[in-house]
Amino acid sequence: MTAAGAATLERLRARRTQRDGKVVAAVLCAALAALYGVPFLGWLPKDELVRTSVWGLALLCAFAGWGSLVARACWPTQRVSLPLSAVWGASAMVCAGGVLASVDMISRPLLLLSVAGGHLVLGWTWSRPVARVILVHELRARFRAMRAHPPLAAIVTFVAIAIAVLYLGGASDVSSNPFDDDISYYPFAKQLLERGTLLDPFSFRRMSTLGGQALFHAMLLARIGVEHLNVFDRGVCLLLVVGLLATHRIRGAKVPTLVRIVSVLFFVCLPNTSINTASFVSGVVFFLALVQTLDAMPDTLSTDVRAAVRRTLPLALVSAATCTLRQNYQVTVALVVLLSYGFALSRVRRPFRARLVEPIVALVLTALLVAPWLVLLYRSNLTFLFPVVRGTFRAGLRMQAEGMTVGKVARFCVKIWFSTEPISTIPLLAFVGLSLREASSRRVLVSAWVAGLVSVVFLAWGFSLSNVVDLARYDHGFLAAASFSTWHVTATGVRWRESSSLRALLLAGVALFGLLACLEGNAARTLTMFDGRLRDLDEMMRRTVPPQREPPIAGAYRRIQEAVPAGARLLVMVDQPFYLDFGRNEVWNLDMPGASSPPPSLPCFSGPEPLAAYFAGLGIRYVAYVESEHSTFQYRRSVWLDHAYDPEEIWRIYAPYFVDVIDNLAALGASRKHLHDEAGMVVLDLERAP
Amino acid sequence: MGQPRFPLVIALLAAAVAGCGESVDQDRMTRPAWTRAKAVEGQMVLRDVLNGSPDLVFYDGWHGIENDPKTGGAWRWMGKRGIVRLRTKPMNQPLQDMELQIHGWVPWEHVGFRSCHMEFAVNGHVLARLEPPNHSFVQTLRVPRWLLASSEWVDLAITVANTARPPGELRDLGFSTTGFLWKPIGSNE
Repeated sequence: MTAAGAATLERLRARRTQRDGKVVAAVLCAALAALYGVPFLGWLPKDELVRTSVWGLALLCAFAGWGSLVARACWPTQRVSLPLSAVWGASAMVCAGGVLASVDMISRPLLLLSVAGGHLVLGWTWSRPVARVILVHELRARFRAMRAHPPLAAIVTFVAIAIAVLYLGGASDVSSNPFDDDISYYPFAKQLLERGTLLDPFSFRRMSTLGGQALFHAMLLARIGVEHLNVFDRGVCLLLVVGLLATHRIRGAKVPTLVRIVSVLFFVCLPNTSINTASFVSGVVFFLALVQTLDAMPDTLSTDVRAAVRRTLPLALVSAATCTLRQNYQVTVALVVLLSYGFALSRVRRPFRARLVEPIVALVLTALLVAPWLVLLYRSNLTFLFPVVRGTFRAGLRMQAEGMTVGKVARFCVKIWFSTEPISTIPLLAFVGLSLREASSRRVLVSAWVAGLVSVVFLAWGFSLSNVVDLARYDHGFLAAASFSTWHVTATGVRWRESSSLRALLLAGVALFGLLACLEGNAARTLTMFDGRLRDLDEMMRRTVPPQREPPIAGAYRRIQEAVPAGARLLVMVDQPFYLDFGRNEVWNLDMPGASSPPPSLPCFSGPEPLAAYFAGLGIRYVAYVESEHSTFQYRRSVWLDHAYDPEEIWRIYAPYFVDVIDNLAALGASRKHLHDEAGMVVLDLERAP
Repeated sequence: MGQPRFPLVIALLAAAVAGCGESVDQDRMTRPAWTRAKAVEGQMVLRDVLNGSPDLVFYDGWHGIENDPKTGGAWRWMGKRGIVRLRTKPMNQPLQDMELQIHGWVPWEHVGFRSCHMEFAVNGHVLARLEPPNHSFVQTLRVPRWLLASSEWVDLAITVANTARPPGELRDLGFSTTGFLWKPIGSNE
């Protein structure tokens, strides 16, 4: 072929690519618009399933949109995968949400606008000529790879179906934990949406979290029912983890396809051992993103403040957002970042002070981004660092077991370490992770494992009242993220077609054994999980009428609230406070009576009148409570009286307060005016006699 | 200018931390009384006792409390070896010779031809050996003050020579207690 002919062919190819790019971009933008618009339609076939799953995807796209903006602004020359930028975007939304929540400005329209904004940015990103060409090339490359490796394509298809089942099953899962979700986590999301903030001075769970997970729930709640909030941790976060694993690059190079498939398959088969809507899979998402972000940063430390800000902003965003998900994550985040910068600093030559610029900028930015959530927690519970600063936590209560000795803490640590769920082979994977020779001067993997180990010690020491099963949920996020990263780094280190060192082969073999042994150990629970997801999905598919907007009990809650003047402060101790309208009244929730209360502290074991006087001092005139014999779960006196003598110390500590407050409210019920009684619930006017 | 401001920052932080949290347990007098009263009311005194107290902690080797709600009876099994931690100065009394009463029984009917021989040691010193009877018993130990002098807490280790696994039981059972009494010698409490 002549040169002119080749040039013509090239021109034709480029034109075809341009044309295909426009088509692909148009299709993607139309899909984006549909994802945003469909949940606004009044009626949908299989309404609950479609609305929930589509809005979950819409949220993901919004994350990706804002994240692409962060990537473009901060790392313009680096290739950032869509899932990683989506986590950056989610983090940016959490950080912005913290600012808004701290000034009471979160609202449904604002959240909907932020999602729409994310979609617009993503649409704009995809519509740029360069992006269109990249999209077409990516699609063609995938298509060619599928045709070239049919068995691999079959495996990918199989895994994709499993992921779809898990996502849709998560969207169909309407189970809730009545002791955690109904009492606290659902009300948090509603309060953010209806009151614009998160103030709950009587809530123990409020002081145990900064509120990031609640903000994500509020974003979902803007379009879907409260009973579908499982879609965040069990659906949206599942997709994000899969995305992060499937697109992982180490030092700019993609992890081999087979290695990525193994890790995605392993993750998909991990049973979900969470018991409520608190952070579980979301912890894995943000810690994975933290590790991948750190790993993608250049080895040399920036010495220029402006450049350092741009470089570290994504890291700071992810770090701050991770801190808001669970209180115990804060220690781990701090340790991972500090250790990796410590390693990087240990390798630099003088001038040392100039090299401190980047670490200091990263820490200051993280602190600034998380500060609004800390301020909000202080407004709510007079603490910005629970449990170090106890705030409204009762002095007589504690999180540490009586008679704990150093030896017992050590044994507890070992127990936690060897009872990690659902990845039971964590010790093995940690051994591999710590034995690796990392190329990066930041030694991210070692930092992640050391931070994980130290965090487990902190957890064992700080919350020794708990047990290994419960604590396994607290440490799952960072230990799972370190495990996945270990597998990727180890397996990538093996040069499959060349001779690899014995060490590399051995470590990869041990890591693979760790994954397989874990899969084998979890087989029965994996089956149960898939069975459960398919059952939930099947149930949703069989529904033939529009979803129920308001169950009968919600009417009782509405009428209870209507008995109280609008705008008045209302203290509640009821089973499902999320049915209340948080915009109409300032609702304070006694989720764990006695555990948290504003100064001078809730009077206990001293009868009903001091309690009434204390409430009056706080401007609380109206109290709604559920009578003990009518409480479905949380406020049954007989259960708590039994707990007061329970072998488990945690219940012995908290139970007397439950029983005392239940008794005192019942006594006040006999001496104060009932404004309304319904469904076993009573609303009292403390200033009026019957 | 140019002076390090870290001490000031640390002092401010410390002040903030100190000022933010309650430090006094305002329920330390009322809560135990409330718990005892409710225990009496609900026939749960033994359960209350077997959970331990500020001066006596069931530390290691003990199974959970079992109880009979109809009679209010409660007991707690250990395996071959159980450890109870004892505060050397209970109720903040001065250091003195102490007496420990141990109430319980052994599963003699399931041990067969083997012996249920028991040994009681405080702070590593064996204070008594016992061939337990085939009914409930009380073993009293006299703990000299010199064994208690050098720490806030000491271990009482109870060891049984043989354990039994009665039909339908998955645990190895050595000794079951219905309570401990830890008091100064001669005290009537």
